[in-house]
Amino acid sequence: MDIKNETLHYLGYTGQSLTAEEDRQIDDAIAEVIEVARPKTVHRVFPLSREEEKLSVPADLDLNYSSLHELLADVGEVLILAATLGLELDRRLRYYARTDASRLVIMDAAASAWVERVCDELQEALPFDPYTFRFSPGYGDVPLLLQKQIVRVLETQKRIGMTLTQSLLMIPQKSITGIVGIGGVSKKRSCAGCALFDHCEFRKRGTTCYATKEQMPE
Amino acid sequence: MLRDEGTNARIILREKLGKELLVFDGAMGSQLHARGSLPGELPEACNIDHPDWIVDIHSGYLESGASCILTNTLGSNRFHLEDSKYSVREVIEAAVRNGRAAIERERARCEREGIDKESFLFFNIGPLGQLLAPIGTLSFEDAYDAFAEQIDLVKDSVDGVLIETMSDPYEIKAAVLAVKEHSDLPVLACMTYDVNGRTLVGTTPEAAVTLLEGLGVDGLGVNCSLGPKELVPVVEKILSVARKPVIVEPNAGLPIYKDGKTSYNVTVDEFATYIRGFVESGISAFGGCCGTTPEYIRACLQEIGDTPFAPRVNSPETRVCGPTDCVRIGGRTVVCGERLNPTGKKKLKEALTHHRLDEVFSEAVAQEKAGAHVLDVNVGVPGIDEAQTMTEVIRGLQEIIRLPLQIDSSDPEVLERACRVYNGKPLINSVNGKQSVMDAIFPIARKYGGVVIALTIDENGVPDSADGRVAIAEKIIKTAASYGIDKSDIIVDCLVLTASAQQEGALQTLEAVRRVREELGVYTILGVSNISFGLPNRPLINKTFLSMALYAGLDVPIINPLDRELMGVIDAFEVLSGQDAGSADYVARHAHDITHAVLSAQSSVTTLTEGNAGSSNLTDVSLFALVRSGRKDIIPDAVERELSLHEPIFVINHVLIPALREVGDAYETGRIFLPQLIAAAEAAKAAFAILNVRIAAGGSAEGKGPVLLATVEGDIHDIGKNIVKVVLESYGFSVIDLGKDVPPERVISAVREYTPKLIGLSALMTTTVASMKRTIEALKELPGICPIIVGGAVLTSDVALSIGADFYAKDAMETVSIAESVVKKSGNG
Repeated sequence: MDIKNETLHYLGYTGQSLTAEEDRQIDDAIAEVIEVARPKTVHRVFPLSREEEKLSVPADLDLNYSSLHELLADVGEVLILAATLGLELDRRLRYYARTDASRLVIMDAAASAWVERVCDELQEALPFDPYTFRFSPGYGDVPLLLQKQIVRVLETQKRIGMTLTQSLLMIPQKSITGIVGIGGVSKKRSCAGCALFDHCEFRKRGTTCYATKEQMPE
Repeated sequence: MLRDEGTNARIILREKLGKELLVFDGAMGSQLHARGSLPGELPEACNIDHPDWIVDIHSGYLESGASCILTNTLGSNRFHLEDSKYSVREVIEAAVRNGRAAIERERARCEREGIDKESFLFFNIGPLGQLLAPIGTLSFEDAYDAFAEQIDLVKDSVDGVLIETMSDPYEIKAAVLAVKEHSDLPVLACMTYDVNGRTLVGTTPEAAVTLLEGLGVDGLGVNCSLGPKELVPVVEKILSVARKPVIVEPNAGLPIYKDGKTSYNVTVDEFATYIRGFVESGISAFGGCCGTTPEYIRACLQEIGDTPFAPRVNSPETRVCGPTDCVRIGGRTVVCGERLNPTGKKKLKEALTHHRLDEVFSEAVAQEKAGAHVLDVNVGVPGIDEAQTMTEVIRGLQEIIRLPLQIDSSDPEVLERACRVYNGKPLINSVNGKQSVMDAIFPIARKYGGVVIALTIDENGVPDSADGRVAIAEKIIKTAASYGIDKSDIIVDCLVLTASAQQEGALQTLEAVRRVREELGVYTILGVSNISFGLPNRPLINKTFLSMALYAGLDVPIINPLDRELMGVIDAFEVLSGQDAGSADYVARHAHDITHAVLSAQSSVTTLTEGNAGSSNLTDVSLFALVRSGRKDIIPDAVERELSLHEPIFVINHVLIPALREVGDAYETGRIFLPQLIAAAEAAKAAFAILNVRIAAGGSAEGKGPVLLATVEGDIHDIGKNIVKVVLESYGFSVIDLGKDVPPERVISAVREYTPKLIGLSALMTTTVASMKRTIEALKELPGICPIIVGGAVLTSDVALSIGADFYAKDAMETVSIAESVVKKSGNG
């Protein structure tokens, strides 16, 4: 999917008319994100074992949440990944926060689209198929606390420069952690379990945040 | 361990550093994984759970030829151990015991085998695992405390400290200060670099060296990150500037994860070959990081054989740095931007008095864009807490600009606090020939690092003659030396006097500049524009004096970088003096200059304007249309046109408000989307800024607000708050923005200071809604507190009410309508 379409999608674009100047500004903002971003990823693949309804991997990582049981129901391996666009982009976004708010929101959306793309490309380059959708801590019943374990297992600070704050926010801000099942049935994303389910602006517009990449929800 | 022995080992270690090759150990983590520790488990717990593993690993390295071993404590801090069953004290004490046991075992082995060898135990410090504010949320002070807690536990039981694997210069500064203020241990400090030759935070090797040598480390270098081959350019950069011993500890290449096992892709022989190369290039110590084993260390020693120890010797340079990059003084002209100094600047004075720091930050951004290399920062206005404001401004500036700063204050207390929080090595403005001033300032520069500006003035004032000024400079340089400060960390300001008052002074100043450089071998700085006070056409005098000063040897002109003509003088000078090779920079900057020849009756005057093809032809479009289409760039002209026809208040009520209403409706009904709303808001805000000045001048000021905005403590996602701010301002509200990660106490003190009509809080994550609740509870304790409105991705009106907020707004437009109604009720606006 085209990065510009995704950026517009994140911005809540529903076909409003754009002047040539506005269109150019969006292109410029996307180009600046791509120029400033230093995408980095780290991943590990672990064999998944099941004993008495408990999932385990040879790492200090607790996968025993019902959302993960559902995600990983019929897979034999699990891909743990993290991706980030780097601190320089954070710095640039902070700069625009002080100087140009419209540039800021477009770049913020473009960066969100870009970091998703980085994860997609990582998965595409790996020799596995099919995948489940990419699950991140904070969805369903999986607490953000699981981020701590992922960060340690992947050594994200050392490998890609990604850390957590005391409140478990990722820094750099444009970062993703993901848990992906490998093999089995390729599960699709759904809005069930999302914290924003009841008041999501995307859903109100009859779409989803991930709609440009997967089919629309039922 | 007897204390005497420990002190003795430190002395021996300090003597050996830089005099003979020190050999450190290899990896700990991968050795533990080989013994069964799982990915994600804390390696530090093994100090207690498997002391035998740790002692064996240490012994393996000592037997392979290492003389310096690192305690297994890289992550032994209060943050990493938060979820551990062991305390920081338990882990560190066990780690030191294990290290000592291995050293004792090695001593016995050497005695048995008749080997003469001395081994040293280094306490190993790694990153805290959280990024420091302003990009992260961990405060510098909390980082410092966490490191100090570690050092207090080992200061009498280890021989040295090795700080490793750091990406963030601010964090390594906190660690070095903690070691130096809590012990007398020798300290080595290593950062880790990415393939692009910078740390993951963006710091160059040269900037890291500048910072660390300023802080007075005993040695510095690089560890981890890459294999030895990829580190070659980084090591070369460090060696090309470092004056302290250099240590290198590469990984055994990159990790390869296969079948649940980790291996590394650089062989023992390849590793050893590169290490020998580093020794030949002039490093003073080596070891191994991730994936290395005792075999790697042994192979290195065999490969090095009797390669002569020849540490690199560099002559001193005058360098300052910010968080990422450094600036060298004494080569190309270094432009110091003068505009962050309230002296004679009414607007900046007011911005500082009323804590409108955004105006300060935009001024900095403009100067950076205009080509300044360093920015002077002076916040000295009466009635404010100068030290507090200075630290706040420095932190804010270092969040958004890369330039090194020149910390400018006459109060040593302000300089000390500013130097402590500054991320990098600053310019310090200033000392002079008065003994008491030097005694107050030099210890600060010595402790934190900094290039100190020496003003050639003393108890008797500014000497008239160049002789007198050179003599004061000489005295300052001598005094600095007595404080351990090299003259490369001094630059001299020979002081510019006003030509209209003391005409002969100009040449004396330039003569002093020439002699300070030639006779004292020290670089120079001047505040150029002082020269022209009281004379007509000041820019002409300034330009001419600047060319003369540059020719006399001026290294750092303090000027207004937004003055293109003055900047152009420097560009032209560097062509004529041969510094701009092939005139490349000049051509790049001036190829599109347009020179207008304006003929008058008696003279021809040439003025220079910035080349700007395709300039706008929208000058006739109405203000209403410009706001609607979000063209803030051409708003000022349109406002002026309206003002030529109407009173300001008429323009607000009959042009801006209807335009905003139309934009708001368009947004609500989906005819425009978010970026268009914000562009319109910014355009309206630009118009309000001009109109408010006119209204205030007319004496009938009537602002709405203020509204206080903050993203709550622990939360750094403030984009929503920033949008709300712009939109509120576009509706004419005055907004006080406290920023992100704002503790409740800060919100409360701001409420006391500004008595807002409305407080807006934002939080993005479920984890930070709790922090929002705490903030609201604290605010509700205040008598007569104004309403509180909240917003953020995971909030709903139910959640908002349950945590005690008065209002919830789903977006910026809703915030505006609530703010309007609140302000109306409270009888303002």
